[in-house]
Amino acid sequence: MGTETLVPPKASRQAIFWQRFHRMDEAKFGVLLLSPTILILVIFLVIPILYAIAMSTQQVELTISPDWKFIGLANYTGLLSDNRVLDSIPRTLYFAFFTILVSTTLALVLALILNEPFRGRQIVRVLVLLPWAVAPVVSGVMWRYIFHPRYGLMDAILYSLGFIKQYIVWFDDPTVSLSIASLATAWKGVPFLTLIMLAAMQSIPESLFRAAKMDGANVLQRFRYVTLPHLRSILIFIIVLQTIVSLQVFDLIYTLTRGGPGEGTVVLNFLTYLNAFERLSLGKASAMAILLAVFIIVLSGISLSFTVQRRQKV
Amino acid sequence: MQMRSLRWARPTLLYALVALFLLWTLAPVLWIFVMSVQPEINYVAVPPQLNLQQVSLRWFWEMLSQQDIRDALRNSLIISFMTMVFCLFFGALAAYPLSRLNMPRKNLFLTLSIMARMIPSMVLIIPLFLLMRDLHLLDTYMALIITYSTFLLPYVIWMMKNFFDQIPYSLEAAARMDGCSRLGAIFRILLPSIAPGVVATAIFAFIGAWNEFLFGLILSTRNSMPIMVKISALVSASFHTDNSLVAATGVLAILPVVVLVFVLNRYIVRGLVEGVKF
Repeated sequence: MGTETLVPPKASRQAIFWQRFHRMDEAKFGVLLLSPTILILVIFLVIPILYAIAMSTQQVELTISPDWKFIGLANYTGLLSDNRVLDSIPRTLYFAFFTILVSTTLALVLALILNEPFRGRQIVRVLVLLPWAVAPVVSGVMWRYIFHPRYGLMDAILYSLGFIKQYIVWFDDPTVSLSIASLATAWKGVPFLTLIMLAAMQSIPESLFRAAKMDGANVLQRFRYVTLPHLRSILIFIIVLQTIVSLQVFDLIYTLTRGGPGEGTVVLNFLTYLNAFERLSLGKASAMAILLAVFIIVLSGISLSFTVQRRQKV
Repeated sequence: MQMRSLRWARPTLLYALVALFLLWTLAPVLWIFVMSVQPEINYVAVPPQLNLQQVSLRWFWEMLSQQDIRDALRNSLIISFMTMVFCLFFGALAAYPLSRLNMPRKNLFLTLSIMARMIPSMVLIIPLFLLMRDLHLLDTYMALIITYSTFLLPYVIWMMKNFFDQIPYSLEAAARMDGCSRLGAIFRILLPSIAPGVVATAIFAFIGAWNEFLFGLILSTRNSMPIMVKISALVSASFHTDNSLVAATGVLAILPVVVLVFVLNRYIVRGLVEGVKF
């Protein structure tokens, strides 16, 4: 029986539409399903990116005039002589470095602990996930209350234990403030990093540990020679991931310190926000954002190539 | 001798570390919670004089009786829920061909969607503000739902694609053989069989939208202001307000996601691990 006999001689338009729909080849059907997503991403992602790139070559100072003026790469070269930008770079690097150090170390230790059997492990696994779900804005509020000079938990504990005679005003010092911001970022990041690390640890074959044990390796040696080599690529992945996250910190700073004391915690991304929405220098802010984006995409490219390598090895 | 002492030391060390980690994880959450049920005078005292008899939920009731806080909570709920629905629907439609069908330039799309995840929101915020202004969408739910869906979709697609990949092809073939249409096979056979994955993806999208701040700050002024923006405004004014009220709002703002984490923990763990597999 040929297929043409299935088509009624006078098919309605609708019927023809459905017939075509069902006979569409795979590729066309796939493109059809993808098209709403592609449409959304083009309008609200691709076009805004191109717009931002265009804007970064213009002088747009809304406090002076609503007009745009093409100035080429002057916004980018101007960043090199902008003192606020230059001051924010060491802060950003310190913040990123400290965040990566704390979060990676804590995640590694926590993953090692959670990989050991102990009573109550299930409930601990659930509890340590909690910070992941807390919004950065709220975690900023929480850590503000931990280090608050009048009702901070940290001061209260130190005072009660007799370490200090007077409450310390933590947020008076820019470095201390930045470190607290790092701690808060690490606090939120650790659960996720622990999960990925734990998944990697559980994929290490048990037989390797047994073999190492038989050869007389102690706990530390087993960690050094069995666990760590297997975690190498995931550690690199995690460090890059945390770099990307910490370079983009904004919400947390907004409620934790608002950039204070003075401009002590104004990191690069926060300065971009200030330039855009307080000074209304849209051209310059776009240039800063684009530079950060380029840097992050390059970093991601590196991390991705590591991940792909890892997959091919397995 | 040495063996025996080690056998005793190891669990002790382990439990001590567990206790330290629990303290580090829970202290900030517990402290804001304590502040939200105690009068300010108790924790301003040096050292704090916490009083069990003065525990009260009145700061919660006071916040909930304020129209703007109730509105902000409702806005966040509606926006997050709609974002979740949007992401699941379009995410499933997009993930299916990426997982199953033979298509030219499939890998190009997948690579581009990973790159899309890396674009900092600071790049997008100025153009999106101008775009939403021109579309007359500023301060509407639609603006935030579209924006959140746009930056969550690349994640959602990857998660769902990875879940689809785990389903044997034969299941779908059998459904088609029994006369199920192509779309029917996606929504009636494939999606239900990755139900845990769908739940994980849904939670991920909901929490992502609920916790977002920067876009909410710029794209809403009053009518669509989410709770996260509201709370940042409260904190800025907290020199004059009762801190128990700020703390209570903080607890309200994290309550929905905390409940999700405790109730649907299993799904979240699986989903997060799937989300980073490339």
